[in-house]
Amino acid sequence: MVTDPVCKMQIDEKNAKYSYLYNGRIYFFCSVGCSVEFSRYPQDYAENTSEKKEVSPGQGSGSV
Amino acid sequence: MCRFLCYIGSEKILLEDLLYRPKNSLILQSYNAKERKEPLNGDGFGVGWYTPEISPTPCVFRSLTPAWSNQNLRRIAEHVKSTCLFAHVRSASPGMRVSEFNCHPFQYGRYLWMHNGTIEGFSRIKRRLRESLADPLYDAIEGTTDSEHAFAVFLNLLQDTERLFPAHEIANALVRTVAQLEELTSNAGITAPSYYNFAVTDGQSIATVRYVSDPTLEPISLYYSEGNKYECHEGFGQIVDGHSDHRAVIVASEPLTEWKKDWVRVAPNHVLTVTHNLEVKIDLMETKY
Repeated sequence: MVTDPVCKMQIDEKNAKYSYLYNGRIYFFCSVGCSVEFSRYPQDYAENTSEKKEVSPGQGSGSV
Repeated sequence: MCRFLCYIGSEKILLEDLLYRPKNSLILQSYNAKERKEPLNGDGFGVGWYTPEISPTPCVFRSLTPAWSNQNLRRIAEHVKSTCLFAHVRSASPGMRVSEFNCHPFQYGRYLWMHNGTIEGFSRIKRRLRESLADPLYDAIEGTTDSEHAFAVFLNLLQDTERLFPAHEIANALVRTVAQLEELTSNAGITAPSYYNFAVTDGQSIATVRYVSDPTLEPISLYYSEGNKYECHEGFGQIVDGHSDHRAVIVASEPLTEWKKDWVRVAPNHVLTVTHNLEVKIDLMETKY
């Protein structure tokens, strides 16, 4: 489980439909609204996220 | 589009400490809103507050004059304290009349209601919306706004407006209100987006939504701040944490203070609930009918 950095909900990353790559890390979201909000203010939300998934070279971008 | 704020806490606060003293107070937002294209919100205002030792229903003061110059509001704010407060400054949507009856917050029984946004194509759904209402709620509508009609839909979904509901049921009714409005606009063939930042309280809990019907668009701004106590000293207001059993929550269209870390943006298309225990809960809205 990971935390949606916008709404702080706990979500299952395996089933998350929305994700966003920012500064080499993938973030997962509960909804398109949260993913779009993150894309507008990534620096605000990424700073406050404690659970982040690292992206290894060659992994998919995971963009919305 | 407008600006509003909500306060609920275990301690009473002076209205002036919320409405006038903070650096980005609601009164300042009435002529210089920071997070709107149009900074003016001068088409009237309203304040509602609760004094449960007197009555479970709130007191409401509304006027169609701009908030920034209303001396009666200033005098009231200097002398009234409450544990639950709603305040709103209005920028009338095109076509909506400027009238005292159209100022928020709207009140029915123990409930207060505010809206920041627009129900797109409201004139095309108004008849069907009114047909769905119980007679007392239909008769209670005094103004012409989409906002007041949305309140009537909410009350209609609650069914029993005398009963004290738990916070999650108020929040559920609010989400169903948005769903019903979406269904009405969709059935009328309205495709342009509607913006529904609603706030409702019964004096003991609060439910708010930050919603736009097209999830790829940015909804109107909405923030919250929570902690033990709201304090305002020498023009600087903030919610502080300490070793205390007290709780305070502010929900507002814009941060009242310049300390960004004190304020959290409400996630788009989510419902924020402040329970009777003054805990904040945020849930995704599932509104597709």
